[in-house]
Amino acid sequence: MDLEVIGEKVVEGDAAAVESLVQQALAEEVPPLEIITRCLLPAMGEVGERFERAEFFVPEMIIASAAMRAGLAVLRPLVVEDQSGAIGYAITGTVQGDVHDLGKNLVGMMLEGAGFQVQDLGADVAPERFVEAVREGRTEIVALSALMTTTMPAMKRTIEALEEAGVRDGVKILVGGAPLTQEYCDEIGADGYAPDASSAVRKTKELLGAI
Amino acid sequence: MNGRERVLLALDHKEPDRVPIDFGGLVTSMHHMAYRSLLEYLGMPSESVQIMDTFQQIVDPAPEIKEMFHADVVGFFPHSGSDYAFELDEETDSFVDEWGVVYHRPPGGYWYDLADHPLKEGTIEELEAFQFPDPLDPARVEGLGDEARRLLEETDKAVMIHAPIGGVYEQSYWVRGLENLYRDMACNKAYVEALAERVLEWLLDFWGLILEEVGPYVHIVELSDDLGSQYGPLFSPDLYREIYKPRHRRLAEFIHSKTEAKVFLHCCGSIYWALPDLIESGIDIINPVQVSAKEMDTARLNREFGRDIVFWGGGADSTRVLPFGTPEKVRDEARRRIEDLAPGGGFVFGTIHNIQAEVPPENVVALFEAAYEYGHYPIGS
Repeated sequence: MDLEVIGEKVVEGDAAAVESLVQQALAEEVPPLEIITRCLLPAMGEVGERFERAEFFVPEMIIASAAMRAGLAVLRPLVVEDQSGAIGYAITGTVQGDVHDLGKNLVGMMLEGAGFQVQDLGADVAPERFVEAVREGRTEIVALSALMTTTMPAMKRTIEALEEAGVRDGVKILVGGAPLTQEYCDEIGADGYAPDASSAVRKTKELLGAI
Repeated sequence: MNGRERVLLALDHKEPDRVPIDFGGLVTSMHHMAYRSLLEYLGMPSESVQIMDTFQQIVDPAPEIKEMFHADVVGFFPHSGSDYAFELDEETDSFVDEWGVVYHRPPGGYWYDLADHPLKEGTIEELEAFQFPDPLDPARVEGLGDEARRLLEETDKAVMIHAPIGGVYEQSYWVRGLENLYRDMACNKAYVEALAERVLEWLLDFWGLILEEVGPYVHIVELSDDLGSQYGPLFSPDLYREIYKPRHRRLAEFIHSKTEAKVFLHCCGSIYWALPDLIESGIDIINPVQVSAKEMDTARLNREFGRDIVFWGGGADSTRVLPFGTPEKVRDEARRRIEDLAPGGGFVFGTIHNIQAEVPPENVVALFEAAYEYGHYPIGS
């Protein structure tokens, strides 16, 4: 079969087609890891580029990410953890007091689409919960989201909690959300700021390159 | 010159004696915590503060504060339908609106967020079976004509009727959920259009009923439909032009056929791209002019669109300067926005959305002092 079609269907956001094409490729004995790295990841790269060129907007990103996830759901159980092709480990979460998670979810999905393994802590996440999650896993990047000027201070509190727990230096902290700025990122001692999901991926790669 | 004359001249794109000021409306008021801080700062009692809008946790500021800030506009709301009674569930800190949308405040949160939506499936069948509240319920206008006439006769301010619900796009996502509606936009456009049409039909009926009662007494009709993110369109401009723009136009034309009042659209975010469309659709006034968003440079906005649309808001960057700046920075910012937007008229000064909980009272006072001080025409004199 023509593996390129899988990527095309991801870009189109056709989850059902992606799922059945992935099954078909597996039946033809294409290795699962190859489907991830040759089809799904490049397709999400393409989605990010279209977003940056203002050809895609949030609705198109949502369905493309869902299509990619439909493919990953089939493939993930078939690849052994260490050969999952993950290029890094990330935690995402919307900070305490803030329940908005659409932007944060998009960042998570785009990170997955770029080959990261992502653990999502959800919304309204207490600083202690971030600390716990960092302690538990092999996290390299902590991505914090806030939609409101009034919940931005919870980002600072989260970073302080990570510092107090002695786990701050082992991770890079990425911040984003509507009211965020590079200045605020610098002020609270985060490592990087990204204005949208697509640039969050670029920034994450940049930060991890620096580890 | 009184406040009403001042506003009406500005809406006519003429220069009044000074830039009119709006303070205390549905999107130009204050979070109750910021308001309490302000009252304490001014040495006034803050115990009896009343919440005007539960969702946003904002207040109807006291008349003396409105006078202090030189407010030139008064507003009022249509009533709810007779079947609806507001009820706050204190255990979960949530409530349900007339449409079945659930709102919840997270512990420690400053206001309520949309938490659940009645249209779960997103099918035409579900939409057709879904009961919208009755737009023509007479309870919505009980005593409303008298209230509007009283504001017209007993004040010398411009009279504005507030929008109790969102516009065609916003109300669509309130009943369907934002992420769901975005998914529909990307793969089920027929549904998005059917939902938009039903919301529009509701709004046409509703405004028909309301304006029959208050049409002769109001100067401004407020609508609301956010189209921008911080960086540009929330969704594809093509989709906006296909589905929402024609319905904005139908609604604006209808309102114009019922009243002499101007049509005000609250539309957050980076919307430079949409302004020609909104002008074509018959929108007279655009708010809040979110200067922190991309491509919302106020000098350029006034240069390019200032003859065709009134800018209402724009007072100070509410994400950086107003909450985090010094009073001096706030004054500088207010002055800059006045210099950009006021020349030629067509500008009503206001905050960019409601003043949020942690904005220092010094900054609030500095903002309105600057609006008054620098707002006298000719600007820059």
